[in-house]
This record gives sequence, structure tokens and C-alpha cells, in this order.
Amino acid sequence: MKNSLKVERAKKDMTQAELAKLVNVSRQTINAIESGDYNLSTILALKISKVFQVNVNEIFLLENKDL
Amino acid sequence: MKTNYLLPQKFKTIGIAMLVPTLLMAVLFLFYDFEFPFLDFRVFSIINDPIMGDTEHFKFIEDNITNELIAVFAILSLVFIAFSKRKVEDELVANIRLKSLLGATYINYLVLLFCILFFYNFTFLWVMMFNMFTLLLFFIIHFNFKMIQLNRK
Repeated sequence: MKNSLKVERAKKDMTQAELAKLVNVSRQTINAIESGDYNLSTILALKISKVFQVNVNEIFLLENKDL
Repeated sequence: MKTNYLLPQKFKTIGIAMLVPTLLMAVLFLFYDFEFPFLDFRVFSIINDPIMGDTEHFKFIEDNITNELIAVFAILSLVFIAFSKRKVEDELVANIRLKSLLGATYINYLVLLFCILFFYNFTFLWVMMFNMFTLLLFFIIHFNFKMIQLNRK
């Protein structure tokens, strides 16, 4: 799964720590999601999309290898 | 994220505080046969199989409980350290914890399989004794190593 979390953060001029605080996780968790080291839960994906006010699949996209 | 099955954070400190004297007592007991004389008690045993004599069931026996106390405190302190909450608990930490438990279980039983095949007689009894604690020990080492790696990122 790839994601455009970094881009969405940049649009809102938001740091990893700020996003982490808004969705109630650690900064390391946001970093692990952005770098593709961790596949987040549906609940967290929904929380993040709510923060950026976009649909989940505008931030998180399935790759061919996931299918 | 709900982490209902973890102990409160302060249990880690309690666990460490309990582990230090327990380890000291374990060394004294294992290498110098040290026992507290005031811990001689009449205890209830379900099965008692002495070296000399017949097997007894459901009887009160005389025993020094130093070794039992060491084992109980060692298990409790390791469980407290292993399964207490961290300052920040989120789904990534829960994921790492689960993976570490799986990794520790694999390592523990690989080591045990090796010992079953290559250690015999009294040495194997020592292995079985340490094996009571190694799963928790491997988990604590694995999990904390992974958390240090994560915090460096």
C-alpha cells in the first residue's frame, strides 16, 4: 500500500508530531506509515482522512502487489 | 486503541525492583545452596515424589520454600516488566509487541529443541529450570530492542 500522507501534510503545513497528536498516536507511528514500514488499521486511516478532509483512498492506495 | 490486557505503567518499575533482589537470591541459591532457615514451613503438596521413599498425594509436607519464593518472584517480576503499558501505547506498539511475542516463542522453542537433542541428564534439568523464564526474557529483550530501533527513526 502506498500513501500520500507526506504530501497531504505538506499541503496543510503540518509536522508528523502535529498529525500524531491529532490522531492520538506517536510521531514514530506516522513516520512508519509514511515510509511504508507499517500498514495502519482502518480506524487510523479514517481518522487521518478526517483530519485532511479527504476520502481514505485519496491518501492510501492499493498497489498491484497487494492484490 | 484499547489495550485492556496490559498492566498499568508503574508495574514495570515494580517488576524491575522485584527482579534485582530475586536474581541475587537465585544466584545464592543455585551456586551456594543458600536457604533462609526461617522459611521452613509445613506446606500442602498435591504430589510429592521424594528421592528416598514413596510418592505421596494430597499431603502436608515439611519444606523450605526459599526456591519456591525465588521462582514466584522471578515469574511475577518478568511478567510485570514484559506486559506493563508503555508511556505511549498505540497500534504500532501493539503490533510490535505481538510480533515480538511470536519471535520470542520461536527463539525459545528453537533453543529448547537444540537442548533436548544435545543436553542430557542433570544438565537438561538445568535447561528445563531456565526454560521457565526464557520465553519472557527473550520477549523483553526482543520487544525493547525493536522499540529502541523505532524511537531512533
